[in-house]
Amino acid sequence: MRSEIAGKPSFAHIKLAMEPGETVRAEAGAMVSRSPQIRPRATFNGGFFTALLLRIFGGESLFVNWFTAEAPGELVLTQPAPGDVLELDLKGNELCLTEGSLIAATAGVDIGVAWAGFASWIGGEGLFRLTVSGRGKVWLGGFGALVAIDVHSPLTIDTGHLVAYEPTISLRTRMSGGIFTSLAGGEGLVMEATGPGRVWLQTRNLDAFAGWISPYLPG
Amino acid sequence: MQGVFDSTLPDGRAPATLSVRGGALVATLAGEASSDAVELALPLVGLQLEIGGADGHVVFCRHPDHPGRVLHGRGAEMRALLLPHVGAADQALLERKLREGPRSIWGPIAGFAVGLVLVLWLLTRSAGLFVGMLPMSVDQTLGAAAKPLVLADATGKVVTEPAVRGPVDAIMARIVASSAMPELGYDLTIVRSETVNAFAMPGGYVVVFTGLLKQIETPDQLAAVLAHEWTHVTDRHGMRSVAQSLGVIAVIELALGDVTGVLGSAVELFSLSQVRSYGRELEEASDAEAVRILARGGWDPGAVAGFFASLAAHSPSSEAPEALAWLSTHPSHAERVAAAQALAKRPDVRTLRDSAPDAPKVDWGALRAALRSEGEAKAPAADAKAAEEESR
Repeated sequence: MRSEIAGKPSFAHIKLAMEPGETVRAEAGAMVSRSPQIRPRATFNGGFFTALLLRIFGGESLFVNWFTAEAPGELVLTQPAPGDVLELDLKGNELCLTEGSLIAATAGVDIGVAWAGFASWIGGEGLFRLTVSGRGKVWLGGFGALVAIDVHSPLTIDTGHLVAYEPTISLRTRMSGGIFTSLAGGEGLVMEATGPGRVWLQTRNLDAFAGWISPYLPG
Repeated sequence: MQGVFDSTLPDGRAPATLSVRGGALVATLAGEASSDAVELALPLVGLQLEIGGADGHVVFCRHPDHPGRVLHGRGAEMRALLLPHVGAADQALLERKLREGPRSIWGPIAGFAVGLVLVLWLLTRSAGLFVGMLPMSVDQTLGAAAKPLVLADATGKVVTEPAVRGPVDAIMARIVASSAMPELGYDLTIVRSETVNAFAMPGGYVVVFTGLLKQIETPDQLAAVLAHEWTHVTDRHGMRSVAQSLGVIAVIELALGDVTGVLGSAVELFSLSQVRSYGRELEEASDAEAVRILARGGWDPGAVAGFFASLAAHSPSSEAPEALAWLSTHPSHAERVAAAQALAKRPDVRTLRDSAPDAPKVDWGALRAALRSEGEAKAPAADAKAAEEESR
């Protein structure tokens, strides 16, 4: 499978040149276009209970689409937010994802839910986190540009910007400063990531954007 | 999931398999072929352990002689691998932090569900207590705002005729005077409609439909219904429902004078008929208080039970479902009637009754006559329409 991410960074989408027998798992609604020889099949996201779990706690869709190529063809996938798409290769390692960042993965990738803790919940990243492991490619989407940062000394991240992180990263939620700085500085709660490991951040925050645009919305 | 961070690796990191060999912790990196395998090691002597990571079960191994190299693995696997080879302090660390494997998510999910149920339960329990701390003026604000919405369909149907209004007003005034809040003003509206219903809104807004008045046989029974509804006001059952449905925060905002968003929702909620039924516990509390009000006001305290019996007997359930409006929000079951009957016979209630003044004199015959003539004067079609609107 050859993959290309076009339209970077604002309107990034994934173009996959698929060979016969190759399968890609994509979130419901992620498809833009496909060749006729690429067959879609919708299933529960895992079993029924796993799907429910992923839906409620992982922010994933209840159903997923499996696209299988019967003959060489092209599949184009995208994400709802205007922003960049990142392709990551899993070689037996694991990644933790925040809600809604997964777009697609190749067939060898396992997707699961793990307890993230109350700190993560307060930090706006959900009580549970999605994990991807195994071998293959995963595509992640973000709002704005996506940047990777290698964490050596503790890194402070504003809530709503974290997209993915390696399992060697530990996260803590705390106030950005004292009470006054936290409230007046507009930072409120922040996450503190401790390494070693890598985090991927999105440069725009959907909540902040929604807040910024809401005065202009009618009604 | 095991791996290594090292500055010499192309990406600074790689998945690896960890093992202990020749006095060292060795990370073996899988290459394209087995001959390509790369090994990165840390001596066991002087090995520094740290536990952290996203799930708190990742063991990081460092050595002062190899800065920039970190071998890591997770949970029970790592514990088994390292335990025989590390010092007592590190053994204790591994034992303490890795006693359980990575947490199953079912525990937290169950905990979350239990917590949610507990919070809801507490909210239900604390609603009464909380509402008790608010000034009565909040109830009045809500009731005043809800009244026009609830009575939106009643335009032109409000009964002002003295023959009807006079007796109901007189009975209502005595009930208020005999209740727990004698100084609270009431606002009585009689609506011309076949619906057999009456309800009260927070703050003292009482609505009675002529359909109910027609079914009532004695002034004592009318007093029973009104006393029951008035108890919803004085015991603030409506506010409790609002507190439970919209949350305590919403009620605080209401108390602070937010008469836009929260009040709007509260009013909307209240205008839905289901909120006019307060659940078995509160309905029975209202019955009990109604019995006492009747006794204090000079009526027959047995009229509460009597009213249920007469209403059930009169309800032509099949032909006019709207006739059941009051019954549907006030399910009459044997236990409830029996409880009201038993209470009416209690000595303390009898004592209240004996020391009470005579019930207010009302011209019941004139009221019945006025209601009868009204029924005849009205076009049947309009009547049916009104009933349909009310039943919605």
